[in-house]
Amino acid sequence: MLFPKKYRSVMIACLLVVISLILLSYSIRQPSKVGFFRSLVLEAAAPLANIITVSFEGLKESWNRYIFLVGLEEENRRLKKGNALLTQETIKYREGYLEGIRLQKLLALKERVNYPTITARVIARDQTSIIKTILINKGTSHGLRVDLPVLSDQGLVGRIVEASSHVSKILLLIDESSNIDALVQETRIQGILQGAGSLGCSLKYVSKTETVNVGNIVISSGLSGLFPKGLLLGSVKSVDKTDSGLFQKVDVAPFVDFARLEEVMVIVLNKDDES
Amino acid sequence: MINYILVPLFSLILIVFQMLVSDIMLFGKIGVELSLILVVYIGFRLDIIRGGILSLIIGFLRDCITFSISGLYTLLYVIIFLISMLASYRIPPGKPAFIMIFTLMCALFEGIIIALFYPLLYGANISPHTLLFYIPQALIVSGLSPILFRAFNRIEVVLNGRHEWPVKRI
Repeated sequence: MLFPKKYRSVMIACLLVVISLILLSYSIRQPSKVGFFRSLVLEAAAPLANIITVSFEGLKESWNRYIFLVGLEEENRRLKKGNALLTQETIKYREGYLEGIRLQKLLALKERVNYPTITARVIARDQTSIIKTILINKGTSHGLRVDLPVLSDQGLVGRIVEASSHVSKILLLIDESSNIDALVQETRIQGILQGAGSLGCSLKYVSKTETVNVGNIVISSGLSGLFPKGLLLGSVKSVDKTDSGLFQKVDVAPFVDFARLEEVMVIVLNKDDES
Repeated sequence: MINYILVPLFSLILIVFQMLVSDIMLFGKIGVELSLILVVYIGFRLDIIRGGILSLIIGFLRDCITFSISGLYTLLYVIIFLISMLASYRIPPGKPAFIMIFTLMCALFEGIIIALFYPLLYGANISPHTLLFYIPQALIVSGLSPILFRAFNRIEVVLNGRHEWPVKRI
């Protein structure tokens, strides 16, 4: 043995310290020298550092993304909520705008009609059944009664067939039980405009000798006393004289789009006006 | 013999890891010196020849990777190994509180030695602000030491079996 066994540990400890001190003093004297072992360690550490850095960065990125996603989800939820609110607002304003346009048209119509009128909102429609009716939110308490004509900005809608205190039922002019005295505006030929359901209307009792052209405007004649004269009803869609009867078949397309009715105007005729 | 290759390799990974943990996770504010705990562990588990050589190698690796001048950490780790070895004769290891206190003292000792050697090595005094960083660093290392002791022990068992390498006395 190099050292006596008794002092072996002490000697080894001293040796270790001395080696460290030699290394340190050598390094202080020549700090610029990298040295073979030092560069070897650094070379070995570089790929390890690279692997660990990549792993760490991956973990960090995943973590950050997760945290970011948590924040993003919250932000997304908030933005979606805000978006829904804004959409609702936009819809509300758009509805208001469209309603304004419709009411403006009704107002213009009101100015054209020389009778007192009441504006009402369509609250229900039943156009799928045989009877074509709609309900409006005004009734007898507002001055409405049965047989009053109902208009939209596009033309005649129909007439009131039932009126309760706050609701009235309108029989649409396309209902097959609806008959209105009408005349063709251009040729002044008279007839009865009868509802034909989904096909629109047909102008009845027009003699084959009369001339009716496609596109002619059909208006109310005012003869029955129910409807004032000159209300727009529709335009001639087709004319058929091939039937063996006395009268020609005139199909009329109503001006009013009954599926899109939202507001209507009821002409409040006095009994005297009607007569 | 294989341990003289595996332990330094493991130490190298540990040093690189601790450096990157400090850099990436703690933004370089506080260092987590896991290699110090390894040296203390070695001091408690190994005899003077094996432990001494390994602590010398670990110190040298630490110097090479993180310090511009070789020898300071080599010297420090050798001294800490020797202190740990002496402590292991007197106090039975395995108690977390003891491990924590002992590691804390070693970490503070290391800080003091570095502060003393710094003017010799670099010709300038270490700032008191930098010195203050050693306290939280020492506390972190101290807090981690019982966990790492267990982890090192597991690795030791995997490498050598329980009775082969922890030769040590007590």
